[in-house]
Amino acid sequence: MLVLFETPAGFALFKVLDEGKLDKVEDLWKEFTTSDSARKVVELKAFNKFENTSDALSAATLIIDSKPSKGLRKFLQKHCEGETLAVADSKLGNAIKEKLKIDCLHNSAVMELMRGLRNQLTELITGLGAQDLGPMSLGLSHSLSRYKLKFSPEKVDTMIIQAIGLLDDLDKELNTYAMRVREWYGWHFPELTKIVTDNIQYAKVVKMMGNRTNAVNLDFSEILSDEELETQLKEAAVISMGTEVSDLDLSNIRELCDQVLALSEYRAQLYDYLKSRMNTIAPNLTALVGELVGARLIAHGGSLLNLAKQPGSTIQILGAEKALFRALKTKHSTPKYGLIYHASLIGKASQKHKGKISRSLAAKTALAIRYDALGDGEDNSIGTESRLKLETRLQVLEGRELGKSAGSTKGKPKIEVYEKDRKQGAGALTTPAKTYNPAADLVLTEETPKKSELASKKRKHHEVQTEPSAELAEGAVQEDRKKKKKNKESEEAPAAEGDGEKKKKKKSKDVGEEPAVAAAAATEGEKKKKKKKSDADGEGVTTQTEESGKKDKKKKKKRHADDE
Amino acid sequence: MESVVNPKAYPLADAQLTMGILDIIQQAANYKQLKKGANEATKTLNRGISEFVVMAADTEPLEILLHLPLLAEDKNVPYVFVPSKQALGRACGVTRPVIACSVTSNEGSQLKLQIQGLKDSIEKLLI
Repeated sequence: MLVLFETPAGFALFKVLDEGKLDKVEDLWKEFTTSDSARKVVELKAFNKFENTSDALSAATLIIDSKPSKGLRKFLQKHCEGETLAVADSKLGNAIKEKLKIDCLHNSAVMELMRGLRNQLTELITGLGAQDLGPMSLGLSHSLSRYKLKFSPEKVDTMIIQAIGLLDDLDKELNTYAMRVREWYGWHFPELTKIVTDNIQYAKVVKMMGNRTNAVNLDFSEILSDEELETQLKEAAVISMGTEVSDLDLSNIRELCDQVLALSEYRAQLYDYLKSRMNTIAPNLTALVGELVGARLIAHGGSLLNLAKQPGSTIQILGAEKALFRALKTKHSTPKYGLIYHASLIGKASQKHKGKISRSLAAKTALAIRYDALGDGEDNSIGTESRLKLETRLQVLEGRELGKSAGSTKGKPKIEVYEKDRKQGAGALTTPAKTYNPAADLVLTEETPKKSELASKKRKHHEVQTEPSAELAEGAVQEDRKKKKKNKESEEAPAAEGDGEKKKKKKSKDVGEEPAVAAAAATEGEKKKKKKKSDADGEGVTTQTEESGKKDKKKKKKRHADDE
Repeated sequence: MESVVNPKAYPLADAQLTMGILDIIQQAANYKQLKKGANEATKTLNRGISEFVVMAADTEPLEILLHLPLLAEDKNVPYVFVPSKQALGRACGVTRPVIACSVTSNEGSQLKLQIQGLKDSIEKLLI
């Protein structure tokens, strides 16, 4: 059996002299404690030396990828005819077997054998001293690392990081330049700022027009698709209140417009480049959150591989570190989103569900990033399927909200209760007005007995003046009559109120109530007038002595009225 | 079980070692020394409180947990693949499949010796 051993100086091929010792794997290390015993087990059969450093580098690179280099294949074909080959890498063994039809072996015994060979390498290979092996190893490792840094599949995302950084810088610069154009040309033609709102169109118009007096003769249809805007522009150019500018000023403004247009073109080109690179490097992430958000996540994470090592909860709040640490320090609520806030899925969600969708999106994004970073294919099915699931979940959440709004019909009884309160209030307001009407009726019935009483009193005065008891008795009788009338009034009152309520029910409007109130007021007025007339008549007829008596009676009546 | 195992799932535990691993995981779940799920396992590795990481080899796609070996190598934590995510979920005590879990450190735990022994067994697979 032969053993293939890789060294910085070249490939070594050893012949196993005593294969029986390989059966005792746990004791094999004892055979390699001394160089003499090692020589009894294996001996060097052939050595393929690397010609120069680049040759060593290319061979080592291929070995790392488990592929035999051209020199190695020739070397093995020459010396391994009909032999079994022990190799350190099973993948390399499979490749050699496939290409050269040489049986290859890889097991624990071979690994143990490799350790022994490595231990006694300088003794087994003549002409390869320890002092020579050190610098050779160091040189090869440096070359290999330099090679890796130059070309590493994992590092292609540096292009995305630089592109997204430049894109953000371009956006800021472009905005600054565009606002400068507006401000500068605004001295000459201030009305144009409100007519043309798009920055790129504004720059094109300014570049084409130059002095505003040229506007009338120019055709802006290529720049402004809206004819109305063009008409407004030409009218404003004639009546503009801007200041005059010289040709030298205009040429500088035109150059600035050229800069704005060139920057906008480059930005569009850079965006297309970023889109294609993102679809190539991170197709699932792009399908899930879009090119810009995905690129910003990669840039913030440092690299796609670094981002793949983050849990979903970290990806959710990437970009909100300041808010997070402030919240942790002051023990307030932590932020719900960072860079992924600008993803379209979160934009679709209502304010109430943004947090939930953010958490779900971050979890799916973490899975998509890991597949993009660690997988080989450019399939974006994971991103597409995850996006569909999230959109379905968003619809479910939004649909539940609609169900709650349907419950607003439960509020209708409250409105009815409120109306009832109004009705009760209206009823209370109309009650005292109607109860007052019967009181007015009292005066009309009293006038006749007053006259009869007066006549009777006159007769008594003529007969005997010293009979006050009779007067007292008459007063008592009058009081009794008044009480009876009051009782009648109280009986009538509820009936009147009942009528009022019935009217209200028939007519729900307030208009029906007002006429009743007005009628009551009118009747009260009439009754008062009658009272006054009766008083005047009485005064005209009486004599002095009778007048004094009447005054006393009036006082009594007033008192009764007050009591009522 | 699937006849073809993803070659990236390395080192893959054999039947006997798998039973030992699942048994320790079940005990760790009872002792609250277990973190279930790829995201939580990632956090234990970042915080440095992980004893070893167990992953399921029949995960589809497997790439969604291949970042764990990278982190485990950085933190010098043993990691191992077991054949079935369903079995791993049952061992963790959840009804859903579990593709990754991490046994955490706890000084003075009764599982200390068993975990140490299992770590040694897992590390032997990588030699």
